[in-house]
Formats: sequence, structure tokens, C-alpha cells
Amino acid sequence: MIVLGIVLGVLLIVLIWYTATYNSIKVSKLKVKESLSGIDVALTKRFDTLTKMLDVVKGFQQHEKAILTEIVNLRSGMTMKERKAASASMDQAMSEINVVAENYPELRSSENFIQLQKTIADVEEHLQAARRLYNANVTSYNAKIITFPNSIVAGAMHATEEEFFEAETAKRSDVAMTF
Amino acid sequence: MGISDSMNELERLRSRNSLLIGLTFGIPIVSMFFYGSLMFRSASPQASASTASPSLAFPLLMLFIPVSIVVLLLMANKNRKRFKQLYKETFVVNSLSNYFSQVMYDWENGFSQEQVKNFGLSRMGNRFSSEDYLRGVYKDILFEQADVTIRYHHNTGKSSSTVTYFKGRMFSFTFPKNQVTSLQIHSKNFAYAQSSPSGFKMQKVNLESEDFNKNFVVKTAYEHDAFYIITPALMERIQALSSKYRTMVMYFSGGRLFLGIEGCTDTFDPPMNKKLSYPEEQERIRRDVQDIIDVIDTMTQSVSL
Repeated sequence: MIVLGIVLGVLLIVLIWYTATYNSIKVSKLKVKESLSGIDVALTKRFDTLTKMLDVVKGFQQHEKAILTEIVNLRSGMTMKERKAASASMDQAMSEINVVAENYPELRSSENFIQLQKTIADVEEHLQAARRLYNANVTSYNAKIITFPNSIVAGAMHATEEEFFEAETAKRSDVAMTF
Repeated sequence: MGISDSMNELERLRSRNSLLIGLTFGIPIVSMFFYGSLMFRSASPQASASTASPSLAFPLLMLFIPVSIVVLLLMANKNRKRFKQLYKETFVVNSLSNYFSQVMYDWENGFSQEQVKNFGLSRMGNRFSSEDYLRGVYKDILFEQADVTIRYHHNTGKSSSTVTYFKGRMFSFTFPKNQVTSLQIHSKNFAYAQSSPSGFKMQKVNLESEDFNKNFVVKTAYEHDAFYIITPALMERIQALSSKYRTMVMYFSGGRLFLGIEGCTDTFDPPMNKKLSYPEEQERIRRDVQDIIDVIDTMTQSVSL
């Protein structure tokens, strides 16, 4: 009877631990998902602002042959690789806009352009914040699922490590942004 | 009144203060000696009828000592207030205009209790005082600061206790990043931070820096706000500031930043224990002003939109 009691007690403890760990992993996963949507929102804002900037820059470049190409378009359900590529193409576009602005003093002093520059600076700070929040959540989630004994529950849930969102300098050259 | 006249008057008030303090302690001591000598003389066999009776002197002394102490303390307090006022008029008011624009300085008053409550920094007790209010503009940043003391006094009837929630300097200034709902950062050793400023449900956030997490508690209504405001550069600057000021608490809301620094009081207060020297006092004011400038620079550097 005592042995049965001990066995039932141990089973109960294991069940409680399993449920708590299962829920904790689920909550962490949810936080990763939420913060990923934060990145998408920031990327979309950045895309919109950059598109407006490109329009303004194109207006100043009309008499020249070169025309700015489009930035990698954003769409829902992008993979992490696609997100990184989109982000890198925006980085590239931004640096090229700055090069053009250097050659056109009127563009630099244009009210519209100055306002867009301020907006893009703020949008980029939001993107940085969203990226850091996402990476912090991924770190916490990954640590949770790979450490023992949580890894047992994570294995049973088929939980896999999440990928970090980092702008890789090397990948930036993959996206051609020509004028 | 010219500088020289002010310095003379300050010295006169300072000497008078020393005299009043000396008398406050001296009168009870002299009275006790007097009473002792009366006792001695009345107890001696040669005591005549004309010798004053100690039994009559005792009630008179018991009345004279407290009354004289109260009167002297009131006089000393009035004297100190006059000294403080003249010092602030001579040294502080003029100096501040050299560093800040649109200066308003009110050394007798500070923030109101309601204002401090809305700062979202400290728990509010039932005893509140604030003085040395300063408002000005530095590098286009409008700031206000004042010394603040918040205490909680508890009396059960049998015993009473007083807990100091906050004693230090509080700042309020415009912050360029204005899209923040509610974000509070405080040193781990600050035990009386307001739990839900502006009624927001706050959640604890861990940032990437282990060092920062070890020294500070970060609470916010939206996690994104914490990462948006607390950039790695700001983390470093807050850490640097905390090596100078051990206990800090800050609250970001809308386009304002509120900051409390514990233990940092008596801004622009005069020293009464030594003779004043004009260049030394100017330097002291400059250091106090520099502290304010350092705090504003640290918190707003490279944050421009």
C-alpha cells in the first residue's frame, strides 16, 4: 500500500512537472511568434517609408538614365531567410539613397526628404528593438528546449530550435539594387 | 546689494548662527551649574537666610531652560532661512542663467505631491516634502528638478515607525522618443519603486546584457518599449551613471522621462560651518550644475529624432 502510494505520488509529481514544462515551452514559443510579428510590422513600415523615399529620389533623377529598382517585396508568411533578404535589400536601398542624396543638394534640403529621413531613422530604431526582442525570446526558448530535463518534454513535443534574426552583412550583396 | 555687501551680510548671519547654536547648548549647561552651586551653598552649614532657596530656583529653571531653548532655536531657524535666501540670491540665481535658458528657480518649493505621484518612480507614503525647484532649458531639452523626501509613518498607538521611501533628487525632462507607453527601470537595491505607474500592468523584462540585468530591474507594459528605449548604448550609459549614483529609478511615459536619484540632496545649499569664499562657492554651484547637465546628457545623448 505504502509502495503504491509512493509510486502514485511520484507519478503525480512527474505529471505536474510535465504539464508545467509543456505549458512553459508553449508560452515561450508563443512569445517568439509574437515578437516575430513585431519584426514584420517594423519591416513593413520600413518598406513603406523606403518606397516613398525612392519615389522622391527618382523624381530628382528623372533626367538621368539610371532608375532605382524595386526593393524585395514583403509578403505574409515569409521564411526567416526571405525576411533577412528583404531586410538586406532595404539596407542596400537606403545606402544607395544616401549616395544619390550626396549628389543632389536640393534633394538633401527638400522638406519632404528630410521628414522621410527622420521617419526612416525612427522606423529603423523600432526594427532594431523588434529584432533584439525577437532574439531575446529565441534565446530564452532555445535554452529552455535544449536543457535537461526540459529537453525530454521538448523532444516529445517535437520542438525545434528557432532561428535568430540577424542582418548578415555577407548576404546583403545577394540582393542587387541598381540605379 | 553688491557682492561685497552680500558676502559681509552672509558672514554676519553665519557668525550669528554659530552664536545662537552655542547659546542653545550653553544655557542649559550654565543653568545646571547655577542650580548645582545653589544646592551646594544651601547645604553648607554657613548658609544664611538670604541664600536663594534651591526649591524655588528649580521650577524657575525648569521653565526658563525650555523656553530659552525654543526661543533660540526659532531665532536660529529664522537666521538660517535668511542666510540660505541671501546665498541663493547671491550665488545660485545668477549662475544658473549662465548654463540654462528660461530658468525658474524656487528654493523654498519643489514638486507637488500629485506631480511626484505621476512621475511613477516611488511609492507614495504619508509624509511628503520637496524644495529647491529648478526649471530650465538645456540643449532644447526642457527639464525640471527638485529635492524630494517621501516617508511612510506608521503609528499603532503603542509604537510608531517611519520608513523613508525616497530621499533624493527627482528630474523630469522631455525625451525625444515619445511613443512609449510605460517603462520603469530601477536599481535592484531600490525597494520602494511604484508597482504600477499610471495604472498599467507591468511585466518584468530581461535585456541582453547580463550585467545590466544584475544591477537593474526593467518593467514595462509592452516589451517592445523596453528594447526600443534601452539601446545597448543607453544601457552602458546608465551603468556608468550608476557607478556615481548607487540608487536610481526612472520612468518613461509619452515624451517624458522622470528620474529619481537617491541620496543626492541639498543641491545649491550653502555650508554654514565655514567662512564663505566667493570663488569656492562659484565652483560649488558649477559642480552642482554639472551634475544636472551630466544626468541630462547621459539620458538623452544620441537619442534624437
